[in-house]
Amino acid sequence: MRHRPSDLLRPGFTITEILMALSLLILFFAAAGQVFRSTVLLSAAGSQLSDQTAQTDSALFQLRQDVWNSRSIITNDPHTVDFVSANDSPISWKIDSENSLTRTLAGSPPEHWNSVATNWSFSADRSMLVLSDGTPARICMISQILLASRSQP
Amino acid sequence: MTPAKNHRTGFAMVTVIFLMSFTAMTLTVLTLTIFSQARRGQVSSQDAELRQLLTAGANFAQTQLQSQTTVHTAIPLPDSLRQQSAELTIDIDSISPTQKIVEIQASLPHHHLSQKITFELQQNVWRPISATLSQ
Repeated sequence: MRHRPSDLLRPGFTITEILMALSLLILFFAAAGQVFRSTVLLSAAGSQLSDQTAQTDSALFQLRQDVWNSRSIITNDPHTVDFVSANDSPISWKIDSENSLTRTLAGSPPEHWNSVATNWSFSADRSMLVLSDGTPARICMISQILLASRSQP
Repeated sequence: MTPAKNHRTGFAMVTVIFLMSFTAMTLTVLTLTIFSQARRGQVSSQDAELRQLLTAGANFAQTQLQSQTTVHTAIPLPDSLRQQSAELTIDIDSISPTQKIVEIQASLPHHHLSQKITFELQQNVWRPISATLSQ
């Protein structure tokens, strides 16, 4: 059986078709890379934010407890606050240069919260401790002892 | 001559499924993060409201210390708070003639805060000597 030459030629692609396919493939892989990168980064950021939030909440909860039960609030500088608790125990909170927060209670090991206090500063206002993080929003923590002492019937 | 088999490797399908999984994962993480932050904001706001109720309760309790020995009172709240189903109760217990413990409980639906204040009679005035906030 004899074949005509045209039967032996297999259909191919033109150079234009190959270039278009390559361009589409490059675009597709670029998009895929971006999606992959975003996923990894977002997962890491979400996890970091969650840890940071838990740390901050824990520090704020302890700080609020200390303020609530304090007989005096003294801020010698914006990064240090000293309390005298109702049972006369001195408690000190300090923000160091690495934005870590340290709580020192006489007779107990110090507690640390790492990198939670970025731009934080303390100020005392009568029966309140005012915590500022550099934004206009401030956190006010009330001392129940001081408040009740000042509102005697 | 046998016809050429049409081989399909499914490369595109596998890649699309892979990318869609990644996108779904990203969206899930994003949604969870947004939801947890929104929930945190809501809890912070309710906490602040409850703490205000606790300080108001402490103020009210101080007025009751002179006259009452043991009391359990639910303090009537303004309409705006009642509409939120807020409640504020006070328990005053006398542990000695010169010391009283006041337990104040403030609650909103699904959220609760309480504090215990110890008052001591000093120079004929009831003064707070400790206050413990708890959830």
